[in-house]
Amino acid sequence: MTAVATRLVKVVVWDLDGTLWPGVALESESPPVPYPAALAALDTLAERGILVSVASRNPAEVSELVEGSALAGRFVAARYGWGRKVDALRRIAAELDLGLDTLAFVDDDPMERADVERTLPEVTVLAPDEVADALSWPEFDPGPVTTAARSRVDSYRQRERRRSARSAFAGSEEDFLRWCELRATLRRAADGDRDRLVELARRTTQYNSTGVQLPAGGAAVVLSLADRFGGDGLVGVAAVSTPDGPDWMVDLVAVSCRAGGRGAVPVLLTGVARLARSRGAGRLAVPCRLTERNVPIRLGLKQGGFTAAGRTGDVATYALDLTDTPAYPGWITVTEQL
Amino acid sequence: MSVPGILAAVVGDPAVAELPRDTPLLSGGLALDSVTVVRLLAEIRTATGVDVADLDLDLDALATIGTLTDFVAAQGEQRDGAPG
Repeated sequence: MTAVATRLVKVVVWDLDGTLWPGVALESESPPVPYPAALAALDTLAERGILVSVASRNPAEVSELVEGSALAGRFVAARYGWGRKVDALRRIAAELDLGLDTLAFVDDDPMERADVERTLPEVTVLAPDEVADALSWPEFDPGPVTTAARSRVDSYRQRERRRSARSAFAGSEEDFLRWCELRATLRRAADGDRDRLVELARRTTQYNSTGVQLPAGGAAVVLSLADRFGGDGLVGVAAVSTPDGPDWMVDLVAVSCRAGGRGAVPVLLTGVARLARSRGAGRLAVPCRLTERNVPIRLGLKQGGFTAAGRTGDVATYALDLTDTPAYPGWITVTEQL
Repeated sequence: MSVPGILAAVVGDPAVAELPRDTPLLSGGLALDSVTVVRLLAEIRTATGVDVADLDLDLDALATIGTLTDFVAAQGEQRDGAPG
């Protein structure tokens, strides 16, 4: 099993004036015309399923100019206003549920770049004329690009609608998920899922148990999510290389960060636990690396009833006793095809 | 800086430092999202040297502001008191 070494850039955050287009758009009488090189870079990023966002000191009115230009409909989680770009980047990462080390930042102003480099060293910082070259770096190469990757922008837009509904919703998180009519489908992985599963294993860091590549043999359970805002497709996988005996071990759990905040980890592992129990297993174990980055998946394990059963070096094993059949949480409708 | 102080800085709201100790950090309370939790633990590690993610396997310390504050204090003392 090989550890995944290269981190991937998942969102490129652009400054506007002087970076995406020449001059100051709000002071111009005609709508902004993007630099051809910037537009080409945005196209390449879209093909690779890498998101693009905006951090601009312009007031929010400039978003109307963006939407009236060749750039319409491309950006997610854009931040406008007079504040530090560092804070805009933190907010964009939080809104998209992505780690800061998956962000790249493009700005023509050396002062802005220096501030970000100093304060957030994990962010990849680029001048506009470095972007074309950077696109050939490994961190901008997501590997085989799947349908899920190409529809990622749609999926994040769906998520923005969900977020704004959440902030208007008065009830608890669980009541909100019920109101969203959250639905999950759990099934065994098929051959056609392979590219998407490799991509999931590679892209995820917050919701990734061991950071290993997807094991080739054994059984894998995959999770799809949908709700009233739309479908997210295949967003989670749990791979069991030897699905037999009294103790089942999950070699890898990987869940998309788009789904992790919506209970994907406990639902997926409850599905695996039910499958294991139906095959006579008495215990389900999930080894998990103890990094700060994957604290979210460990919170998901806890939510699913798993507790720490031991530790070797920087890997802890979390276990669930299968004496009773584990039940799915009440706030989700699950279709089991196991 | 104290844990409530670090928490307030991470969420960007000074009032958070004054919340009651029994305020849940996750659902039913501050409802911190996953990215914020990761940042909070990184800031605590930098400020106090206590690596909660490494030391608390079941992450029980993340229950409330009080449990996290107590965990960091206890681990800090243990480390400071350790020989060598």
